[in-house]
Amino acid sequence: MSTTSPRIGGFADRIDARSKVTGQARYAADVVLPGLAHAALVGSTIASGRVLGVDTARAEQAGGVLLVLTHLNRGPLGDLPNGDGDGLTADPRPPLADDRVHYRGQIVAMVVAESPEEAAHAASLVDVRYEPAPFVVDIDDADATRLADAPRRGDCAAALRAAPVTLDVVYSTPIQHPCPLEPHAAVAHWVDHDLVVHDTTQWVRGDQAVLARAFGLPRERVRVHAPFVGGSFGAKVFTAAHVLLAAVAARRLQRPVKAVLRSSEVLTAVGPRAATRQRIQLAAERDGRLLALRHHTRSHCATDRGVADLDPFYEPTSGVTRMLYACPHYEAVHDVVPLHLAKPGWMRAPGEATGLWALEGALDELACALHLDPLALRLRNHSSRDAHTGKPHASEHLRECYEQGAERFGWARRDLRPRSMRDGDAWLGWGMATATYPGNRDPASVSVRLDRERGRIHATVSTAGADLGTGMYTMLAVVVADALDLPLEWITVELGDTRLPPCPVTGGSNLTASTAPAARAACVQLRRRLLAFRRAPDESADWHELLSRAGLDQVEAVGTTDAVHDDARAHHSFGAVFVEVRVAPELGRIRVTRVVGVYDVGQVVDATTTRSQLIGGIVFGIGQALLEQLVHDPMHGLPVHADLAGYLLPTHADVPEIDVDWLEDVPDLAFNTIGCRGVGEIGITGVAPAIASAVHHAIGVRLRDLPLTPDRLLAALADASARPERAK
Amino acid sequence: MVRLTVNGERHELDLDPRTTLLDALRDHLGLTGAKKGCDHGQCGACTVHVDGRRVLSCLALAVAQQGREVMTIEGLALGVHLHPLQLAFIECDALQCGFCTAGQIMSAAALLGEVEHRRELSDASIRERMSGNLCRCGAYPNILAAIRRVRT
Repeated sequence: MSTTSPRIGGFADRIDARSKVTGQARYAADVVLPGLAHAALVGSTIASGRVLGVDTARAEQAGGVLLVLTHLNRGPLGDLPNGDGDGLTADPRPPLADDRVHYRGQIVAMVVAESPEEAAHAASLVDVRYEPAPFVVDIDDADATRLADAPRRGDCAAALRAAPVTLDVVYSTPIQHPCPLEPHAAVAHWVDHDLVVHDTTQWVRGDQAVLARAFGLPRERVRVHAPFVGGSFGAKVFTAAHVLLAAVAARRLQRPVKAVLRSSEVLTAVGPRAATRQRIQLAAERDGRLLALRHHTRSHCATDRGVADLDPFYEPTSGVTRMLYACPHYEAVHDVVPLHLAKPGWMRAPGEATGLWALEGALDELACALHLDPLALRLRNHSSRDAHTGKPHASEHLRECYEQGAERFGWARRDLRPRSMRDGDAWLGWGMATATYPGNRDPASVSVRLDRERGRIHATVSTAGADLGTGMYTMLAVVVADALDLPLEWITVELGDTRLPPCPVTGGSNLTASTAPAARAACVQLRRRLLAFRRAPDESADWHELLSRAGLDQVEAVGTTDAVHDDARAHHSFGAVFVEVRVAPELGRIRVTRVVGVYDVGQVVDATTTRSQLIGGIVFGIGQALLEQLVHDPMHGLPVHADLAGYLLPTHADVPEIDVDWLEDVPDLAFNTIGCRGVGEIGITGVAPAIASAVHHAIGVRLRDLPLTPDRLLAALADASARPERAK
Repeated sequence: MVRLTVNGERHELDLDPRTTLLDALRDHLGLTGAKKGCDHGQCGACTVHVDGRRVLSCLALAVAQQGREVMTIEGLALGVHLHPLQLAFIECDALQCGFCTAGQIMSAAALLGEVEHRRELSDASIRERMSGNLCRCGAYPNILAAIRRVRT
């Protein structure tokens, strides 16, 4: 066992890995309590309308059944907080609030039984009668409402009319789902009128706030645990209906209740990434300099959270298109289309992953039209400031990312012409795109406690935030090890518990930037307190000895981070992603054969988990590009393939060698004291457009609709051979 | 009564005949290392060994496993000494959230037994043979590296 202390930026072993490779890490669905009862959900079989009646008699008579909850007997629940950053629910109304149905799969009943088998069987016996109403589940088939937020600068329309070169294209993205491998699960129980919930959540304090409001309790009487979460990617921010219903049932039965969603229920009832249709209009000089960019997005929202409502969730595609490239004239408009589907939610890099699909795709087309290298076009339009607000980036090294990525990939050898690289029956193509994600930071507290234990020191680092697989445990341990010169083995990290110091939602790649500086601040306080007990200023810091001199067995400090208040500078991460694809024209098959990504994410805290996060983001991008789409049957309103055999995720065989790296010595010290920005999301950005760019380079056809499935490629090839390319 | 031998230990369980091997392990024997991801045999998170072969325990009925040797992730290590694959998964950071990890390791352990040691095992072949185990975090390149490390 090593006793050297890791340093910030070095490679540490993931500290929770041992518990995961031995099967000892306990996730919410693993929790077993004495007297545990099991819930099964009943989803509506209509997409819109009313529940006329629920016959629960057969279910109630089935073996082992303890309770059948419907909107007729659910009992009172308080209003739920929403949109105030203080806990969020997907549906604005509590579950089983009334007889209205807004999407297929909405929970209309919940059965609780002694065993999961009995609950599942009894759920199939609940007989619901409906009055169906018309519904729509196709974004291209419904009326849109324009959002008031329409960022603009300059005079886009005039610039588009006057420019020497223009491009007008529509890119689309389907409904895609974060689809973490761990389905949502909750175990709720009441202990002396206090509510304890083990949940799969990115945000224990959000859950706590929602549950406290729902049950009329002060927050401190609701405790939420999420020490391990089996992936999330945005899907576990909202406090879901089954969590509230499990708590209702547990109180009614005076027993713990476990509710675990089936994967079909996750894909149907947990909000996905909204579908988008994005029209990009570009105006440019002949040398490629952008003059104008107009970005018109349609995305879908839910019907029961009306557009008039204050918080229609929409996929914020224009956040990235407005800021990335120097361009004097810009305009974005956003239309939302209410559909009878579960309310869309967040999925890794919401807005950036979709907005860059359209923008980077259009730029690749512009580069082709102007016979420019796609990378040269990016460099020509590089902006060292947020192009929309005009704020200079506090720390921006995108050019170096382009340069190093191109070098590692061998980009300079690329022939501009499509169909220039043949490999047997297949064509090879090389594409690239820019990656970017904002630096986010939120108020967080982290406590660090030192204990004298069996002749040595032990540090305990605590905060309420959750590690979703992101590497939080390791990252915090590294920060403390670095600050106090401790080996990792002497450090315990506690996460995912509302009793620990307050921490924001794990989302928006914010948690490292929020908690790492707080952890270091706590260590600085501890150092200051203990170093006062040194006998000479050059005496080495032996914390055990200093604690003993102080007459203490234990010392604790809490460090905090505040929200970002920077009126003068912008904070963004950047990157460049380069992709090679192999396209088999007879089969329409696209294989990604090589990926290189180089990123500027500020100071990397832990290299091991950062590398894994970036690779994981790129794999997500491969799924976004080639595989993932949730298609709804227009006749019945349900997903036609709500399982993992139909909603295709990337597998081992889909993922090639991935080479990621980041720039060293580029801390964003204006952002926080460590200079780190989060890395959870930037990896996915740019991947899909780089793949489409590579496909075009391989075979000369332009695909603008995700995912890039074989049927689409074959259709585009047939179309291209029927209509020889028009002269530019 | 259903008699199961799991990780070398014999158990007699009073099970609903509908109980899957996965639920028997998780809910009745407290072995929660195998995970219920899709419950449809599509994700591989529930992979265990039955008589040395990898099996999707969510698709296997517990009652049908009588007289067979079931091994789960909890039985893979020899006491405190981790299996080489477990060590390699740690060293290569072949996991993130950890939810698929038990399944990946059990699948990889069986894979190594499926291929004669002398035979060359290409990266493409490992990827193909591991494609029944999904990892939404995208740790695939590191999982491949971990399997490679043990294989060579």
